[in-house]
Parts: sequence; structure tokens; C-alpha cells
Amino acid sequence: MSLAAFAPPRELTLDVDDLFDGDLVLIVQGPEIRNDYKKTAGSSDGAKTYDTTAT
Amino acid sequence: MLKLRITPTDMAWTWNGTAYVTEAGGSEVTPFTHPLVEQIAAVDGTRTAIIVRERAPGRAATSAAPVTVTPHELDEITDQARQWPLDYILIETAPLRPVRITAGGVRSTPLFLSHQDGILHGSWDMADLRPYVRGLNPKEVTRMLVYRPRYSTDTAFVGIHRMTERAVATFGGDLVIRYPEPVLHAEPRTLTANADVLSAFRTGIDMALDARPLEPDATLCHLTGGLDSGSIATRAARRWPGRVNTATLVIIGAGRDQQVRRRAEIRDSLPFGPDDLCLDTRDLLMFTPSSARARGAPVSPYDEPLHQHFVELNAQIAALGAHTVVTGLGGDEMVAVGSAESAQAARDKRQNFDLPWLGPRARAGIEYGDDGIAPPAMAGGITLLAAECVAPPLLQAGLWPVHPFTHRALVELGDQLPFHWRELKQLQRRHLSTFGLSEDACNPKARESFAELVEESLKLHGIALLHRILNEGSPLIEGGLLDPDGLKSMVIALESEPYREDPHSKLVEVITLDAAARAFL
Repeated sequence: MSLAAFAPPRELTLDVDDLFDGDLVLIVQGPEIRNDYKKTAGSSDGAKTYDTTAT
Repeated sequence: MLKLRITPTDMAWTWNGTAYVTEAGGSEVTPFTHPLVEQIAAVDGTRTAIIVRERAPGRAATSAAPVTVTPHELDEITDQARQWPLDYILIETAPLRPVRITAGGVRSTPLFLSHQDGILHGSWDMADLRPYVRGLNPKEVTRMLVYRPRYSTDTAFVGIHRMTERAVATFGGDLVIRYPEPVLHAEPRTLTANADVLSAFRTGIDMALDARPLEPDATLCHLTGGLDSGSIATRAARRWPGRVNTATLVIIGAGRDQQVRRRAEIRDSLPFGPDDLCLDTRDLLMFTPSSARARGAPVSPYDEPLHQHFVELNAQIAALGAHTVVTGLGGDEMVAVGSAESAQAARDKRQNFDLPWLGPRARAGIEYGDDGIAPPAMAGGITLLAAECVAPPLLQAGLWPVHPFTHRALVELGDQLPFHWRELKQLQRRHLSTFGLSEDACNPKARESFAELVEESLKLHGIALLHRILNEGSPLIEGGLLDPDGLKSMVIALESEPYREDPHSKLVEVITLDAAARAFL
């Protein structure tokens, strides 16, 4: 077997350079952001994500 | 994506057709058998690398048997393995050295680890690790009881560890799991005058759907009526006309008729496959005496609150011939609105830790909830936890989960979108409107949720399980995590007073944790 089988495929990324103005600012998300849990009850997709169809 | 048992001193691996095993029989790595999963291995005469990973499209099938390579080539192979853009587990072994396990940044399925007597055990099914549980983890149980989950190596049980994304576990004597560097995220930006956001969203969905070699005829999309699964499923239907079937749980309550009506419109408007599985929750409340949790089966506390519903739905999906399920999981997080951006978001995120049933140890533990949590990942922590939530019941039915909203393309797009595209999921709503769907389908007026199912279930079946806690005791009470007096007052209120979604619905976690503690301890 060729060792090529171990090589990863090229990861496609979405080019959004033309979409936005201004500088790209990168941050380290805080615990409350990276574990954002914004809903209080109910769920339409299950999985404890508590997705509501807000109106 | 695998189960494992590894004795670090026992390291000459072969492939036996279904698993990597060692000659002495002390070690075994068993990949999950599925068309979207493959395994590959290499040995340099001393060291071995075993890789179990999600398949990438357009590549020939791999051979599972270990190939012999030079030490330099093995180093290259392990470096490359860490760059695999889909879910993977890399296992590196060498004689007389600790075993090292690396998880990929995409965690389509969980891996839980335990060890005892010098042997490492791992599984996607937490129930497999029940023999190694040594008690309740008060910090993690507190996070769960107060509905402030945090993605970390902690689980509710001392003795079971979560392999978080990109983490490296080293085992040999003791087990140490090391977190990776944080993934950096972009702040929201302003759009250019001609920005075509919806086109970028479509392209991102397509990238996510094309990341794996999906077989449309064996792929089913969740179509709940929600904006997230709707956004993904409609695109899948447009790309693979007539081939992608759909499934959902049908809710009860005020949003039921609307859900049924909107789903019908979406299905009628797009070329979905002929089959639409609808499991009516009206006929299946939570926590019935025959449910796995009520019967004392070892159901993970991280499994769905709607565990029995998804077990049943997944069985129907498998019977239809599908082997892959595409969800809308992660759509909330893709367009999350921060508290600083919106007063409504701040109100939604307001947390109520004043739950009468919290025991003294839980109350004391609240302030430590962020200790030892994982750094930022590409997907949000809640998305990663939710993916772990849905995976075991799917895998038990032979189904593989695909969550397009966790793909880098969509996460990075969502991070940068300005507020007005994320507010109330304008992105998903406007995307749905491009299919010519009605105002009702794109901007529903009533909430469609499981809140009413939770209410009915708690009243009809949950109260009995709460009384069982009060009458028989619970490991949660013994551990100081539940206060029986506070719980009793809340049960009396639930029986005699009008139902209040907050806090009453949060008793669901009390029931599921108690059931898990009884079954696992």
C-alpha cells in the first residue's frame, strides 16, 4: 500500500475575503462564549441544544 | 468511532478482520464498522501507529493491515494523521512505553477513557466503562444540575474521562489528558456593499456536505421544522433530488400544528426522497416505566433527555436502509448572539442557579464550574457536547452522524457575520426564503419545542421518579449534590401548583442523573 493513503486530503476553506470590510480580529473565546448556552427550555433538534424558534 | 483495551507492555499488533489485536491478546482496538469509517496502520519495527478515521471523498479504500515503514516514515505518518480534517483517533504504541492517543478536532463521536490494573479501556459507549466508575464527580454533576455545561475531560463519573477534541491522552501507569492550544475565532465584521452572504452560506453548506463521501440514497436528513435542520436538509434535497429522506419527532403543544404544516410545505416544495419518518411524541412521553432510564439500564447521563424517542426513531431510520444521518446540530452556535450585542440575548442567557434542590456540595461547586475546562475549539463546546449526546443511540443503530454546522467553513462564516445576520437566525430564515417558501415556513410565529413534552412527562411520569429519590435515597443525595428537603418542596409544588418552565423543567436533569448514578455506581 502506498504511503499516500496516510496523507490528509486538502481541507477546503470558505474564502470570505470579499465578503467583509475591515481587519480580521482574532480572539480567544472566554468560557461563557465557547460554551454558549443561550436557551432555557425546549428543543426542536433534541441534543440538549434547546433550540427554540424564537419569534 | 472505536472501542479499545490496551495493555502498554503488549505491543505487536495484527489486524484480524474486525480489530487490531496483539499476540498475547491483552490489547484490542475495534473500529466502528461503517462505510464512512476506515482504519489504517503502520509499524517501523518498534513503534506502531493505528489510525481510525472518517473517510474522505475521492480516495481509494485503505487496507487495514499494518504496513512496515522506516522510523522516519512513521514520524511523517503520525504528523499527517494529526492533520486529517475529519474525525480521527490516532493510537501510538511502543514496547515498554506509555500508549499515546490523539483525538481529531472534529468529534463526530465521543471517546471515553478509563483505566484499571494497568489496562486502558475506551469506548464511544459510556456504559462499557461502568466497571471502572469510582463515584460521582461533584464539579461536573453540578455543571449539569445548574444547566451550565462545560466541555472538558470531566464526566459525571470519577473514573471515566472524556477525550476532548485535539486532546492527547498518555497512559502507562497513570492516565494524563492534555488539552491543545486554543482555536482562535474571528470577531464580527462589517459586510462589503456587494456581499452575497447567502451564496457564501450555500457554498459553506456544500463544503460541509462534500467533506465526506456521503451516499445520498443511504443518507437521511433530520427535518424537524427547526431553522437549522431545515437549512441543511433543503440544500441536500436540492443537490440530490429525490434521494434524501427525512425524519423528525413530532412535538406536542402549541407549536405542533405549525410544525406539521411547515414541514409539509418544506417537503412539498423541494425534491426530498419519498420517505418521511415522523415519530409522534404524543404517544411516547419521557420517563415512562418501560423506558430504559426508568428500568435502570445504564444510559449515559449525557445521552438525550429524549433517549427512548431517538432510539425508536433511529431504529426506523436504519430499517429504511439509511446508514448516515445529517442533522442541524450546531446551527444555534453558528449564529450565536452575544449578551453585549442584544438585551434579549442577555435575558435569554441569564442563569438561575437558585434551584431549591441543589445540595450543599453543588452550591459550593458552582463557582468552580470553569476550572479545568477545554480551550476554545473550532465548534462550540455545547455543539461538541451535543454531538456526543446524539451519537451513541445512532451508533447503536448502525448510523453515522454528520453535523454540517460544525464544519470550519460555516463556523468561520458565522463568527464574522454582523449582528443583523445572526439575530434570530436571519441567516437561516433568509436562506430558507430562497427556496420560495412561505412566510409561515421561514418565520414561524409559535415556538416549536419539546417544552410541552417535558411538562407532560414530568407531571405524568417524572413525579414518580422524583418520589423514588425521596423515598429510597439517591447517590446524588449521599454525595451532597441534591438537597432532599428542597427537592421535596419542588415536587409538592409540581404536584399542586401551576407548572413553571423555569425551574420545573430543570428537574429533567435530576431524573436523568439519578437514573445514571443508580445504574453506573
